[in-house]
Amino acid sequence: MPVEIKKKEAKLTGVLGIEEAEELFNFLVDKKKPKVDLSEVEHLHTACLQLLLVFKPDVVALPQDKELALWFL
Amino acid sequence: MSSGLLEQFILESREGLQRISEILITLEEKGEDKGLLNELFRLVHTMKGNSGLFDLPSMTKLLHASEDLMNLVREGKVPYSSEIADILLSAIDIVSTMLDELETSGSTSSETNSSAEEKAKEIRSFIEAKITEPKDISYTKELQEEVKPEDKKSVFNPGLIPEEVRMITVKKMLEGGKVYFILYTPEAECFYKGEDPFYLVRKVPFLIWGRCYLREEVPDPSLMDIYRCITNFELLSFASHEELSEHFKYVLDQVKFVELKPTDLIIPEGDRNGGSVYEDFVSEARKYLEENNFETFKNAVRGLLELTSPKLYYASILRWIDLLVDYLPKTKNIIEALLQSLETETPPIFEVKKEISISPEISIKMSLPKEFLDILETQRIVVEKLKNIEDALLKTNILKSIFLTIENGLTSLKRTDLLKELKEVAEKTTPNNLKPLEDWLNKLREAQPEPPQQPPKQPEYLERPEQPEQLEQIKPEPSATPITSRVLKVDEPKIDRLMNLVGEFVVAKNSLAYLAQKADAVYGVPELSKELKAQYSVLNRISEEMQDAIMQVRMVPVSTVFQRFPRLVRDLSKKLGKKVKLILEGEETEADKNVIEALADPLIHIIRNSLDHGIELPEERVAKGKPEIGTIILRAKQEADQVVIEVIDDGRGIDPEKLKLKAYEKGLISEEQLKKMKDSEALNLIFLPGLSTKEVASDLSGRGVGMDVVKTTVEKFGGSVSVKSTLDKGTVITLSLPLSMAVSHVMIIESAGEKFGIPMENVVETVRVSKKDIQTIKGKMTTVLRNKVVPIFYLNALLDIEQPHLTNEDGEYAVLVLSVKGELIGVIVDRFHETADIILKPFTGFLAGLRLFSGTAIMGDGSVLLIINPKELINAGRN
Repeated sequence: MPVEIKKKEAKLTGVLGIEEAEELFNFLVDKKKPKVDLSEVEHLHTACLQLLLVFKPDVVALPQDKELALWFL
Repeated sequence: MSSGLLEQFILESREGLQRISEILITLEEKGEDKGLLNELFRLVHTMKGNSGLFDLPSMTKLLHASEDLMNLVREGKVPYSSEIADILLSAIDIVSTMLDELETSGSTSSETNSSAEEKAKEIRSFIEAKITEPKDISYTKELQEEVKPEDKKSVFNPGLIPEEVRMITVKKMLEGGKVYFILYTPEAECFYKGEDPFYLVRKVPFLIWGRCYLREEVPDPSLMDIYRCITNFELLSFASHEELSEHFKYVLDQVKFVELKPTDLIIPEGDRNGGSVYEDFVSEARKYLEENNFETFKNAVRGLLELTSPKLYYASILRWIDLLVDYLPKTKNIIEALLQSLETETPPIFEVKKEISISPEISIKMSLPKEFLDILETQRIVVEKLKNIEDALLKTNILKSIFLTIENGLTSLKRTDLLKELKEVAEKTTPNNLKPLEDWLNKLREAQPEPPQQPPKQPEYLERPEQPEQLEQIKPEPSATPITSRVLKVDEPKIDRLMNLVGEFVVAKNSLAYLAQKADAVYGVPELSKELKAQYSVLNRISEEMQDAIMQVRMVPVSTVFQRFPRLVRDLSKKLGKKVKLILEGEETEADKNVIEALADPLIHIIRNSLDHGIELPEERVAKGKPEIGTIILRAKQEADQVVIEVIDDGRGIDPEKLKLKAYEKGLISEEQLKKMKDSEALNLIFLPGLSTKEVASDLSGRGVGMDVVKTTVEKFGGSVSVKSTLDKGTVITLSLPLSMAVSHVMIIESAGEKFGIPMENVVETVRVSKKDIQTIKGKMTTVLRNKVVPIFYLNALLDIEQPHLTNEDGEYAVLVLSVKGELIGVIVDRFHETADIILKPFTGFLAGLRLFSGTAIMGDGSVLLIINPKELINAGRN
């Protein structure tokens, strides 16, 4: 599962397609102070990226992929 | 993929291509026309979209490239030129070839695929060249003109790029590399097209830096549309413009490239509250710089850097100087500007005044750039028109697009204040109550355009493409909804079948007339005969109307043939270096489809000849006192049951003397003919096959290429060709063809108990000639008719029937005078009968070789009538 939710934290893994946007959106809307762990993310669709930009959740871990991580600095 | 869909695609694309080439040529003649350019773009756009339904990547690529080019023209970024027309026309040719291949084999050949790919590349590089050409594109112009750096600044804000990234980039630039700043604004609906802008951005070649941000505020995230893209990307890349264009090729309209200069990125940053201990350093530094003592200078900079807190603004300046020292002397000016900045405690000024705008709120609240006001004005007009639209759904959609347009404009202007206002207005405005929007627009309208010294924050580059599109969407819609196409497309064989059936019906109906006769004469029931006749007349009327109707269906305007000529003339005249204007007249004249199609090839021959040999080179024309631009008139008109096409040129004409001489040399005419032949007769020599060699044609400075082919083709369809020419004034070639070939009018004659038909167009008259009036000259029979010697033949002899012809009581033969190829001949027959309309069926199979007859027709009584081909009859007579 690309989106794994544990309480207030969502762990995103692998490649997140546009299909994951809704799940991510629901998570971000539901939680008061949502957190995301991006360490395992390889790529995320613009729709998902956009959600992170809109909701500005706490990023607990940046992607291990350095190039990708630069986008979240 | 169903073949029906493919057929539809081929059919529609062909029509599209035809229209495209028409528009291209009209544009070239009349200059840029917004409406036509838009239509052109839409046509190509539609075709591109349609081609995407099939597995035709090369075609799609080519159309996509063409579409991009047309888009640039449409937006006025590239002026329309004949160069562009050439490129697009040749692209169309390739697509047309692909369609032909698709139709015949169901797929495109690898050859055409590769030529399509090549062409697409050519178009792309043409676009590149045009875009980078300083004068052609407004926004690149801004980049290259040093005077207006503010415009560039509005596209990109270097302050957001981390200093270390900027330093690496500047180093690269100083080492000779090119750096592009890229602003990618994905369209809101891009997710629905399967696009992932972020993925595209991550794959940008030689990416140095990038950032993503939301281009609009999301007031309530929980209500946001997660499938609407509102994310923008800003990137820096070392890649070349070509590489970047290639990378973003499918979204080029959403991407802006800006080539950067080092000074664009040298922006010191940091805390400005430092001491003023730098004065000494500045004067020292200037001295080192003057003396070219770079090493010491560098050390001095390093030394001072160590003493300065890195967070200070001045430390940033020093870091930049430190970097730039390595690239002296070319960076001397920049360093001097930085030193100046250090001294005056103001931001560095490179070539032009450049301020870091800290607070955009400082600008006068109501002042808006002129471009934006223009957009508002157009939206206001649209709102005005909206009042007259009934359709509620349409109204809502248009209203949405108005708000979207304004919103986009405001977003790019970063006018959050107005954005908020707009949202309030949008809430209040409904399709039935446009007042809030109107009031708001009027309020904004009063805002004065910003004074020129304070250029717009975000120049036209974002708004411009949106404006025409918005208008375009709105205009065609009202009419598009209620009206559906009234045109029915039918395959030709279906019409042919219908026509054959009608033909058979006509024949079947004729049998009723015979039956009526028989009822009276054989069975002796005159009442029945009368009734049958009455019924016959009803059927006759209906069948005639049916025939007429089916003819109408088959009628096509000559414009279907004519429309290819503007292109032909344009291409050929360019190739030949001549200036020619083609005038089309009577394009609406209609004739049977087969006739029209038969016209195409001969006309191409004739027009080509006119261009090649008729129209002189511009210099020659001027020397002769003629207008520099030659004229070819292609005129169609209807004369009785003939369609007449004239090709008139004002070229050098044909010299009959030279023509005669040439024909004599070739042994085509005798010495006597050479002396006696009238000029008008001599002109007809061009139709002789022997004269149709290129050498003769060009030598004669006249026509001759394939004129015999023209004549044969036209005659095959029952038409004729004639030529008139005046030396140095021009030439007129006239083709006349029957309007319709479906029904022929024949005269029925009888010979040796058999009935035959002879086409009426060849019949001049029917006469009775007494046996004694026939003289035999050198074994050939002749008679004198109206002071003309006419050769006489026995039809039976020509048809190999061994029977003498009958004479009437006065010993006179029945002679049918025919005109064939302008010659009169008399044919002796037994008896004349009535004329009749028949449907001619040419011989097929084994009988196709029977040249003496052009075919057969079924008569009303079921008998078969052989139709004589007069031309072949004469040939038989000669032998």
